[in-house]
Amino acid sequence: MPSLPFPFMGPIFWVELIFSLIVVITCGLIYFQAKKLYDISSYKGIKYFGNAFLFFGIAFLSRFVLRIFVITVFGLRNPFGFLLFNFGYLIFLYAGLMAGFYLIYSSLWKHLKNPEQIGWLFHPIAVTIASVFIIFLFGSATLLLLLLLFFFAVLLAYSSEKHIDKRDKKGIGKLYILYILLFIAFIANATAQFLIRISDEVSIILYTISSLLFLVILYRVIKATKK
Amino acid sequence: MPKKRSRVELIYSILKIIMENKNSIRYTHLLRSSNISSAGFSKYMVELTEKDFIKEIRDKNGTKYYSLSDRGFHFLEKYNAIRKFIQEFDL
Repeated sequence: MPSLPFPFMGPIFWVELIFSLIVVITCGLIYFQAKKLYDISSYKGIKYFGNAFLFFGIAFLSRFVLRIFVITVFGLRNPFGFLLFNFGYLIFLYAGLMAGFYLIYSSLWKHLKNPEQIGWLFHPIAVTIASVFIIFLFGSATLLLLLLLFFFAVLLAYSSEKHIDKRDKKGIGKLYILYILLFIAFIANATAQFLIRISDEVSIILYTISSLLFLVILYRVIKATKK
Repeated sequence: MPKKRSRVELIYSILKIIMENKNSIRYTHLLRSSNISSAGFSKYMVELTEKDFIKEIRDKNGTKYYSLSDRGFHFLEKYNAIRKFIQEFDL
């Protein structure tokens, strides 16, 4: 098992906490806005979109909790801390994968006959992948598999775009770029947090870009729902 | 070929027709104007009545009219936001 990075409570620690808080609050706002519209319309695409950000929020919240309570307070040499770390990492991976699945599905569901039935498959798939990562592949192989998943997500997003009616295509391309960047941000965060040591400067750039991506989506949500 | 309308679009279309007819319209007139199959239309009307989006009114001659309830107006008011949201994120 490769060695894991140990954080210190220096300035970067607080930057990470603020970043996590921004992302969690942003995801919460997007989720509640989508839920409000879903309650009125019962439109499934809105539900899946909202779920994606609910799971992104859970993923970044678990990352936040891992950072403060598990790694910093207990430390990974403490057996209890190590157990909690693995459990927290499982939640982080599971929630991140669910977020990715729902985000792709929010655009794909229209082309399927029984979208609700397929949606339930996400949970076992995400739990299985996250468990396999943690039990067997913790380390550089995880990164490889995350990249493969990301590649799969891009392919799905591309195939969904091909299905879109040309009349509706205006502006959609930019949305897929945003989603792809979100996946990159999630993978980069997972990698930087748990697998590879990166410099503080690179961390700050990564956190800033990730926060901005979520804030751009929140801005688009507010713009679309304002009267 | 025109795109198939979604459930939300069909509900919006029914409610909008009622509103545009001074909030009072007969069943047959609404069915014709909505351009929905008769079977599908009656299903939507039952759902809209049950969910209190529309209400049934009878005049002194016993003729049945439909009008929007407060909830129906609320849906129409929010529909633009719902539609914009769906378009913005290709949902």
